[in-house]
Amino acid sequence: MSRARLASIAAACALSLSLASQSAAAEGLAVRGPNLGQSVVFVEGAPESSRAVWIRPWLAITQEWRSPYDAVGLGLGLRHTIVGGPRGWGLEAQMAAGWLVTTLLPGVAFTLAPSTHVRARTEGFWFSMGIAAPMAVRLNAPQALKVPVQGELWLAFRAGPVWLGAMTAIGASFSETGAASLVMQGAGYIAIPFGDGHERR
Amino acid sequence: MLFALTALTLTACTPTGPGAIAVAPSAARDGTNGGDGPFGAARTTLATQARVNERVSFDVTFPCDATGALRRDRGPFATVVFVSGGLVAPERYRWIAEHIATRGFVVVSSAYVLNLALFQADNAHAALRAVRDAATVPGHTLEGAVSPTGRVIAVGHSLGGIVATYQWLDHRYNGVALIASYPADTSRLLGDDTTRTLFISGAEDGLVTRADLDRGFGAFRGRKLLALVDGMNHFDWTDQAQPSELARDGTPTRPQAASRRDALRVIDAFTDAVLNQDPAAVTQLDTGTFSGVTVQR
Repeated sequence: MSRARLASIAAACALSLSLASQSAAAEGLAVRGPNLGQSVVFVEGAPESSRAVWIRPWLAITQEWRSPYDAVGLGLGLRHTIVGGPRGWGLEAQMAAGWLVTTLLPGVAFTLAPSTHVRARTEGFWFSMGIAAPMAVRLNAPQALKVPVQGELWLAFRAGPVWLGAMTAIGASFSETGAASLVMQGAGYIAIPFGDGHERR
Repeated sequence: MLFALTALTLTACTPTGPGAIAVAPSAARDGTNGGDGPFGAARTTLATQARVNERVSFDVTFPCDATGALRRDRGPFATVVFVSGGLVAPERYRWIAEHIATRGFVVVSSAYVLNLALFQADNAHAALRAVRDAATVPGHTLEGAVSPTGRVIAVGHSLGGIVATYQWLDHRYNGVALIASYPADTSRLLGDDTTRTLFISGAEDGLVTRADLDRGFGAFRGRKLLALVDGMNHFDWTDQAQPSELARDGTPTRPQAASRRDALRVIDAFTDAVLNQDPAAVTQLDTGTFSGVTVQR
């Protein structure tokens, strides 16, 4: 079975599992990690954990939750290298969008997470720093809006067939009342590249 | 899907039993002179969400019977939204929440990241909203505890007083009490002169100067009271004050129990006046004196 076929099956499984667990889309954290082409990505941390299957080097299906299961989500992710090649310095842009189901205060929210990162990459190392705005709007009562702006650092190393790393983010979030709040995020990172995408170029 | 999720959440997460008893009820107490009231005080910890998907944990301290069950026969109760001071865990204010609950009020106290309410200012109102929702859920521990449109005051200590002021302004609470605190941004106060304000601070407070208090107090409009409690410092308002906190505070000149009792006498008059609209408490606030406390109007 070809790697492309395996990738399609993996993506379909991820999507099915997410739907079966009543997930819908969130803040796209895993979309903002290292650009390794087609890959399966796990970003496990607090308060957000996120997974992505990059079924194309530029297109991902994402699934995530906010611990401990306060919100679950499913969505799509896009990324594009604005400046630079596969190695060295570059400028990446990402966008995630989808639906989120909140559980403590039951509801549905739409999320949109644009971001951009400056990165440095070698054969076995990735470092990026950038800014992300993972916005969310709660659609049912009580309606709510949050517009976070956060700085992020990502660091990853190749370890055989996988990439391991960590990320952290801090920033401020603004609500519909104008109130500002602190945003913090920390997570570990595992990615398993596959396919003929960016990683192999 | 949303309906099913809502039903599942309410079924799975609704606390139905009594709260944890913090103060047993006693008919021998009458809630006067700074003392506890006749109700017991019980606590339950709940969670809700603010800012779309962020968890907010909060304590609710409520009037209870000998089993820790809410005194529904006397409800719904008015509500005090309490905001803890900067870098001070909400648990260190339980003594005041319990006292207020024994006098027939529900006290809602939210947790904050890093114990800094300024970082999550709207947690306080999110918690109040959740309590109001819970009060409508049949079988919930807090069923009937508060009315959806019941009277509310915000109370905050130190940095929490600033957040309490924001909540009072943003959500049109019926009053605000600043404990050892003053507003950072007085420009937002200019439009409100309809509710009652209490400033209360220790005369030996080492973190809030008299000049700060006077400046903040002068910015408020409407009916207001500034109360200085003799011999009390900044961290007499908190349990388990740390040596590092006391090192930058003033030196208390009276036993903490005596200072707190005098302070509670003022706070009780304020809660009775604003939340119960008790004429005697209104008169006391407007024209009366308080033992161990210097007042300014």
